[in-house]
Amino acid sequence: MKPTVISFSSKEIANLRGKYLHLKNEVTLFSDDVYFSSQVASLGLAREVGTVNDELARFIFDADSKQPVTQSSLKADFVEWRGLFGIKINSSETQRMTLRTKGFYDVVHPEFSFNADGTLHSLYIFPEIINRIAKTHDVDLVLVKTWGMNSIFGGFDPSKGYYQTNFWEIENNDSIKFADLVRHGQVAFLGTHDLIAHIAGIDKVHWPLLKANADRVYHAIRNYFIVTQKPTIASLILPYTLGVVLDDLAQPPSYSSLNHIAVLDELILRLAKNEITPNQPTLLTEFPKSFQTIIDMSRTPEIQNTPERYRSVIASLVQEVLRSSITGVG
Amino acid sequence: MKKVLLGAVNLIVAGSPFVAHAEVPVVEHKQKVEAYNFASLKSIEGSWLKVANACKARGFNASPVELVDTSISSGAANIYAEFKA
Repeated sequence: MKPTVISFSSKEIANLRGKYLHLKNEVTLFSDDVYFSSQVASLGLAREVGTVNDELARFIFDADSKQPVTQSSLKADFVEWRGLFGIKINSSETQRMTLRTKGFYDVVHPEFSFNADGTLHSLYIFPEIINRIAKTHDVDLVLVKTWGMNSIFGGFDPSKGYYQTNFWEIENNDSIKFADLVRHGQVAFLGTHDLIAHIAGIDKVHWPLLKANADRVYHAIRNYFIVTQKPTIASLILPYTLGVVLDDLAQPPSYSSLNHIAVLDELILRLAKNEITPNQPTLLTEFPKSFQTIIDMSRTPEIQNTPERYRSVIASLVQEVLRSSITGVG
Repeated sequence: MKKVLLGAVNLIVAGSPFVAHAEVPVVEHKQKVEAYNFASLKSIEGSWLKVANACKARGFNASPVELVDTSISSGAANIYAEFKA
């Protein structure tokens, strides 16, 4: 028996949202209610597929033209099969697709997705099975309540670059939450980024080191804000930068990357200097240009051999933040 | 310029819904930070949008990779073997 395409009505989605909003904890293991979690993850994926927020698309190629399929040609349907809830992705451009990133094939059900020649006509994705695969690597997939509320259930317009045009990750100090997940061997599964950047290609060999680095990031940020009830935006820039580098490090292609770890080390050291006061009311007028340079450097192989390069840019980031900060009367 | 911005923030603080009564002279520290944060986010929006999209949000970038890998791992294959039609 093959998976059946099912409708997922607005009423059913509203019910799912209601249940989600009543989750008791900020972090819920997939395995606590795997069918519900699969529905949430499937909805998150389906909302992004074919939109500007679709991070799968650039790795899906037309086997004949050897070009990536057009993002907007991708469409997701909900499917059910033997009590599993999932999605099926198709492209209106081709029924002969190939996938070009490590681990992508691991998250696509092979029995239903392939043509006889090894190309794919569809991508059948079942979060429950993916959770089982992650568990073989000692990683737990989880739902993060506030992240889901900000994205899947946040009423965002899928046609807009939602993630690119809002600040909630800085504002909410999500870096510490992300570090906390990783140090506990957990990965959020709420959308296409989680699936392709963190879950596909997951490898337990690298996780002990990753968890140790996440633990260092977690404690660095926690100590920085330990007496701060409400951090200022200016003080959240450096932790945010740490979070971006850690996020890269938590992606299989960058696992155990010495260049990322070197930049991470320097960011942690810099944060410990407490140069940007976290609890003094401050108006930040510019986002620091050095941010992008730091991220680029963390992705540069062998950068760890020239520490003066990233040290000076990280110092510049702090200086930029300080120069763009107007302190009010606390 | 800085004075204008600070003046704007003070107006935001004074007019903030966090402040129960405008005449209350002392604004709670946390509420004040929130007002400044709100103004900061508005203020940095232009420069933020100039940063490459790849580095933002939960969509923190997937590291640039273009790997051709058509195999399924044996671990995943074993799991899928338990979920056969």
